Amino acid sequence: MTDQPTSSEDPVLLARQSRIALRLFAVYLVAYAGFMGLAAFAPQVMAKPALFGVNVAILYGLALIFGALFLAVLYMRRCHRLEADFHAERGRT
Amino acid sequence: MIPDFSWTAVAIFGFFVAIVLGISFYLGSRAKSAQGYFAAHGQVHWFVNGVAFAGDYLSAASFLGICGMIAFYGYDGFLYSIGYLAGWIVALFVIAEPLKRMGKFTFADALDNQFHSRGIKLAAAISTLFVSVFYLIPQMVGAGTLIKPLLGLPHAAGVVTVGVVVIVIVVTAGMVSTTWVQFIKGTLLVFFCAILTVMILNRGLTVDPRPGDAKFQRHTVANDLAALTQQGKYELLPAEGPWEKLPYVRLRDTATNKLAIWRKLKPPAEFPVALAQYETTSQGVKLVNGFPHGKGEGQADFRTVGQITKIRTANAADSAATVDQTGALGPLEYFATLQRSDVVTWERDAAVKEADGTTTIVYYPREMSGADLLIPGGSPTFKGVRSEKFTDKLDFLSLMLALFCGTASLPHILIRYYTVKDGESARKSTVIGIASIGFFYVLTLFLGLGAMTSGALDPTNTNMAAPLLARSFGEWPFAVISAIAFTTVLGTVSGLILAAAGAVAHDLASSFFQWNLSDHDKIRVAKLSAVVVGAIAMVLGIVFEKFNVTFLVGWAFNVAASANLPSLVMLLFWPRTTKQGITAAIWVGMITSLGWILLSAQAYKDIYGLPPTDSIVPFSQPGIVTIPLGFLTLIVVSLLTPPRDAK
Repeated sequence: MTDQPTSSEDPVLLARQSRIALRLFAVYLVAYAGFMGLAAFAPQVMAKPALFGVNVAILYGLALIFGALFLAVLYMRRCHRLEADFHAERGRT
Repeated sequence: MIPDFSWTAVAIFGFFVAIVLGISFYLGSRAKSAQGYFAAHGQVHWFVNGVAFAGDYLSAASFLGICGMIAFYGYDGFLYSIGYLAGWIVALFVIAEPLKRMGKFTFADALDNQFHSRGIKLAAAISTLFVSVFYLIPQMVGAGTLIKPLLGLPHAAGVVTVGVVVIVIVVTAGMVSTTWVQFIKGTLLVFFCAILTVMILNRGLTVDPRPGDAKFQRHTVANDLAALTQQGKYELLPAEGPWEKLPYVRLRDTATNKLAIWRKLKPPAEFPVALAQYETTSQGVKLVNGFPHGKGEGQADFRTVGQITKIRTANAADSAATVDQTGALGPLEYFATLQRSDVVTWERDAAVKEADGTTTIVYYPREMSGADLLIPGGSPTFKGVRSEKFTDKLDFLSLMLALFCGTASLPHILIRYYTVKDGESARKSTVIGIASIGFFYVLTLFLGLGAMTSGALDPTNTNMAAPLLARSFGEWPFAVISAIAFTTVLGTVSGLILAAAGAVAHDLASSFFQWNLSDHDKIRVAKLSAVVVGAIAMVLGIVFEKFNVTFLVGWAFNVAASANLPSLVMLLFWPRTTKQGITAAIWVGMITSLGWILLSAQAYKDIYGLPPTDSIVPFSQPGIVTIPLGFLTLIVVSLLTPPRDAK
């Protein structure tokens, strides 16, 4: 039993975690590409005041920063839950 | 501008350095093994590592360059913030955990994990050295920029001070001391920038940030200036020679013989003008605004600039609703108010060379609407966004792609992943890193805009915006921020030098040349390399004095992303990747991105002094071409070579 991989190294668990990671990455990639697309090809949209008199450029930029943190925390929690479930599964078998 | 010497700043910086060196020497006595020297025994707590990520990553370029860019051009500096932070998403979701599992001390370890190929080690080590040295240049330039106002010493003194302190840090305890330097720096930087932001919001916006200073004023040539010349007080110099096509009006005071240069604001109908500032150099004598450059009697220095001229409380259409000062503002209210207001920012014009050898550099004011300043495309770097030309837009997209892909390819960031114990800690520390770095980048927007309207800017030096903003709140904030900025350089530079030293000792000496090194020898090789790389960095930091630090960092990201990212990603996600594919992708990515940069319009202008229009590449930032090229090379070469399990 001692040469069993530890739970955080288990290929099944790693594959599950990596699937979540890539999905979240895709979400962020779309948001980032959307921002750059607007900046390069629709600058008039960026100049429009959106909320509280603040324009789209600033709000979208701030959203990309806070959004990155949100996705990071979400990922950390999902991985944590996956590990807990994985241990529970192992415990039963 | 001639700086004021601040003993307080010196004392605070001295205090930081003493603490940092004290920790280094203390820890140095305990780090004996190579594992300890290169990876801090893999025992760093994830939270400490997360903050150290911020200390490693938030370079002088982030702090000084971005604040300066926002202060002079508005939104564009924030584009860098967004790109730099987005890069961490690549690190977290794609690179961090596998890299941690596969490697030991350097990212070459991870790439070479399944192949044991000397070719990969060599390519990855050279790319590490290259990117680290490239990235070191702007850090060193930043150190030199800061030392002038801090100690009143020349540029070279700042570069050498940082170089020596960092070499001592890296030589004594390697990654252990580097981690703590970065942790302390990260904490200080984020904490004090947050305090400064609170002070900015609390002060709000005012049209008279420095009572008693000369204000921006428009005049019309037809009325005011013409009247002055008619009275015989001023003589209008003819627009001849190089001045013929330039938008300036030059008036000589007939009593004092001093020259004043006015900038035509909106030609041609009414000719409003505003007073500009200038320096002339003729036969080795430098005059500023017509006077010998100095602070004494009969001398002059540049006037501080950066001012809001009209604050509107309601929409721009309702021009009556203006105030002179707002009082404290909320964070979003700050943006909204600035967006409705008018701001004067300053720009530097190209040098005017006259036939008799006199050179004049004019710094001129531009009256801008806040709404224009708070959207992308106001700066020379990002003006492509507003251009009609497709290649200009590609230049912008290319830089943003390089920033996105570059973070997770920077060797000094990647080596931090080997300092924690497992993949989970790597993940958690990245989240802490994203939180502290993201928070800091939000603060830079306030710092930059606060500096823009503080009336305290030096029109000749964009990199000094943040410390001068702090000065507008008093000597203490200035001293603390300057000292922190200097400490900032220490944290990043030690990470870079350590990454380079690791590449030499671990990848080159013991893996590529296959020297049989004991742990002890390996550390000695690393220490020696640290001294050599440090010395090279000092020389380059002095040579590149005049470069804008943000721009140089952008280039380093391009090279890192083009050389390293294709191999890292494909190794993780494409089982058919071969060692030849990886080696070829690193070389091709590195050489093409560097070649492109050296042939770009920006390099023609800044490095060779040639006309930028002669450049043979269509835009300056290579990433959008060379990153895909790296991937393509890897795929083609891998398919042409035998798969890894075929013996």
